[in-house]
Amino acid sequence: MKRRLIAVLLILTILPVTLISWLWVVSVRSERDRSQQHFALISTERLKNIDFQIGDVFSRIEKELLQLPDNPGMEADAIRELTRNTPLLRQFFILDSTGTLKFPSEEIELSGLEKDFLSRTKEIGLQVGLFRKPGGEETGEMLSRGWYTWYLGEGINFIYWKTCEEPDTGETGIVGFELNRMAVISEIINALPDTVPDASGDFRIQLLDVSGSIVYQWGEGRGGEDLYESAAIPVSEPLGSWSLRYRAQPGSGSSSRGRLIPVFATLFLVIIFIVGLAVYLYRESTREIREAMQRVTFVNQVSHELKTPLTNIRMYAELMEEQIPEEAAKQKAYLSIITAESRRLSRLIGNVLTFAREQRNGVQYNPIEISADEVIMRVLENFAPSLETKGINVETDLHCGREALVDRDILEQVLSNLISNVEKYGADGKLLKVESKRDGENILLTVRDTGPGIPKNVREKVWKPFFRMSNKLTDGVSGTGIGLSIVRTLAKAHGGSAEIIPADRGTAVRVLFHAPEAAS
Amino acid sequence: MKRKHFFVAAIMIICTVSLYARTVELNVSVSNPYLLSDQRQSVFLKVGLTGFELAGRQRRAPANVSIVLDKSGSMEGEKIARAKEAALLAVDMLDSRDIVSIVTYSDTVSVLVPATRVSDRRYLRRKIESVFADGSTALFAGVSKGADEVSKFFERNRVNRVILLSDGLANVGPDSPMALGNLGSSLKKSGISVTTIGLGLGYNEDLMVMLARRSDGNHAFVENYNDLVRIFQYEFDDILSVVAQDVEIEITCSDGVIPLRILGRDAEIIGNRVFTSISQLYSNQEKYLLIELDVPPKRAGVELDIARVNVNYDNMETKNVDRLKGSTNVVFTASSETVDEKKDTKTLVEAVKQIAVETAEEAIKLRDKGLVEEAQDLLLSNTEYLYEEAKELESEELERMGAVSGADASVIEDDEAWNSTRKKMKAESYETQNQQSY
Repeated sequence: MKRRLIAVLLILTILPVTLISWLWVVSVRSERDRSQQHFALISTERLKNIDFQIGDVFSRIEKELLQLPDNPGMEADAIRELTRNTPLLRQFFILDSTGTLKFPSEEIELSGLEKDFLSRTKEIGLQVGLFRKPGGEETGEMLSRGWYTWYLGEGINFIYWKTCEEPDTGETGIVGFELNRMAVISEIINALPDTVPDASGDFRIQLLDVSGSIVYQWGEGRGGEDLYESAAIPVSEPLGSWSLRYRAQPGSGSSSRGRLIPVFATLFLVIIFIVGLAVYLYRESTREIREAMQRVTFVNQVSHELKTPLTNIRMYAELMEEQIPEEAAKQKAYLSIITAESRRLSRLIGNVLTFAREQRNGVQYNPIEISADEVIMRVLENFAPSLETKGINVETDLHCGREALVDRDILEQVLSNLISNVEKYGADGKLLKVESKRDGENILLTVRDTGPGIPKNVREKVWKPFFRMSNKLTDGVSGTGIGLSIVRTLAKAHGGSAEIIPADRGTAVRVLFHAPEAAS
Repeated sequence: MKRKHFFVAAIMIICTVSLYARTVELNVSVSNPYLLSDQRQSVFLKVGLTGFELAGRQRRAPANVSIVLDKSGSMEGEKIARAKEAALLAVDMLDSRDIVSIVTYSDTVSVLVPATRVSDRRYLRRKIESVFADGSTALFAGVSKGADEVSKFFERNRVNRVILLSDGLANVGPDSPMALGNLGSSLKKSGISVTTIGLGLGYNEDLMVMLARRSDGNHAFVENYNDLVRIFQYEFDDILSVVAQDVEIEITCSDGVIPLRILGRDAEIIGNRVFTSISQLYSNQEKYLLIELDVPPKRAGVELDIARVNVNYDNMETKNVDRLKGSTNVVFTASSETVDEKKDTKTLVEAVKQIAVETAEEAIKLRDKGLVEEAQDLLLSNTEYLYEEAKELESEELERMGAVSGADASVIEDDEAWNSTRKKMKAESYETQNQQSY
């Protein structure tokens, strides 16, 4: 009873708590997903801005280079002077329309650096077509200036070129600036932010070269595994093979931690409320059970106390009945009433005690070797006066045979309860039939009447304690509602069972007792 | 009336000062002013430039310096403490004329103090004290950002310099000697030189020397962190004694004379002309360019104007661009005694020094390839060469170099000491090539 209550309460507590937690987890996760998506968008935007900044560096370099003198007829010394004084410039070159280098050309004396230039550009084959290509998709016009990049040595190499008109022929040639790539990278780095200690936040933005190694990075976030990549974009041309990467602390962007505190608190309060309610209900119901138990104990004790004086009353009434002379018929009738009523009261008390015992620690089973039929006869004898009064005929059909191991009290009480029921509810049929027979190790006891019978739908319910087919006092029938319940309990204690069996008329109750025959 | 006289006198004094404004001394010499007739031979041409004496500290050029500090994990402890001490000393040596910025780098770069006038020392002090060591080494970006700070206040009449301190290998961003060398060349063109200070035994000396060389800065190997403060002192002494900057040198050899190679410095040879530049000249200190020339045979008695030198530079005192011209002659003679008698010992000593340095560099390369014995043999023969020349030229300096070379030869086989020996040798070579004051 208690255990079931605990189980029910646990289920009632765990179920909503689990449900709420699950919902919470789901909502937190979806919130996180959403904020992560949002954060990815923001970080991509940020990277795009940085890409613009890098683009600005190239525009600035472009502007700077366009201001340099670019006369294709320039003297070698002037070109060298220009190269010497332009930090970004690694090599200046002039290409004529036929694809021959006018500067630096092998026809003049060259410096070591210029010779290096010739050897490193031999691979790519410098010629006008390398640079001049149809530009915009709509116009298809030939480009007149732009970037050219190629990979050699330690990484990317930049050339900025523009067309020029050759003074002699009027043909289109190219003036080109090969840049010092480290100077370009340095310019890019200088255009990007540095790490401001304690203020840059838990992110790290990285500029990666074509091989994926870090060229530059900033942000307080350490490069460790705790950062995840929230966005990555390729850098725009001419650094197209490079990329930008945004690495962030998990959970950044969503202020979820702060926002979830009230949710968590609410959940916690709900859980506490539910658990508190469960504990309260548990205590309440166990108190009721406790109180009921106390009541039962009280009734039990009272009944027990009543039993002894009642037994004395019965005994002395019976003694007196025997000793009263025949002629005092009136007194004898009074005494027999006293005796019958005492017996009825005894049975009642017996039932109450059995019920109470069952509730507490089960029914005692103390079999002795005895003849069951004799016990049945004795009981019937005891009932004879009241049955007679109600005009009920008694028929017996007893075939238990030899003595068997039977608990006398149980058998007596079971039979008394069944007869009492016939007396109370089946008196209209004016017949009581008690049958007994042996069936292997069992004894079958059947009590029949020809009364109104028990409707089919309540045939099981009648075995429940306190069930009564009618509670109307006006029926004129009294009862406690525990008779049949006790019958079944006692039968079970005796290793048997009790059931209502089909009958043509009235009610037939069959009780089975486990009662092996006596050894001898 | 009196006041008028006073003004006139003042103006006259100023005029006199500017009239006698000092200039850099150009000294063109050849190792052998007399050459044997009728034979092809090589001779060393030395173009020396000596900074004039600074007229007191008050007249020095203002500095525009970025101190770039390595604060990677390996700097933890005493190293970072000494580095901070050195930076504090630097701040103390500068005054309100100067501009300083402080950049730190590890995984990332932080511009700790953006370029600012040295006026609020307490602020600078506090900033320097806040540095702690942690992380890896983004050296390229550190130098880059440092140079960016310098360029914000770049002026021709300021000493624009980045001072890089590193104790470890660059491992974030470009990390090869070539890459840093290219950055250095670009910075040199921008008028910014980078002084590289290698601390301990963990840094890449090739990279640090290359960066210093291409940007024409100083380089120092500080094995013991206790010497760091002293090295910073030397460096700032240098910075505060610059008298000329952006020195452009053009040498034109006369017909038939061919410049074969430049010893020690980077220069461009185009036909019979040589171009180079030196970023800074310091007070009372000579920097020079040494060129080996191939001289065609001439008859005895011929006097040949072997090379003409044009120099222009920014005079830090007058803030003008000064131009200097110089040339030197050789005379051909049949007498080898005369040749020997007239030889220019000073120039020869420098030539021997530069040749010895080249040999030492060669030995390092051999040792890098694992050819320990060959390297040792080369150093030993170099030692012998130095001792011989020391005797011949009566040069104590060469004798000292010989002793050092001998010592290097004996420790070069020691594997454990090699890291330290290599760093020391690289630093010494560069010191000689750059005519560094420390």
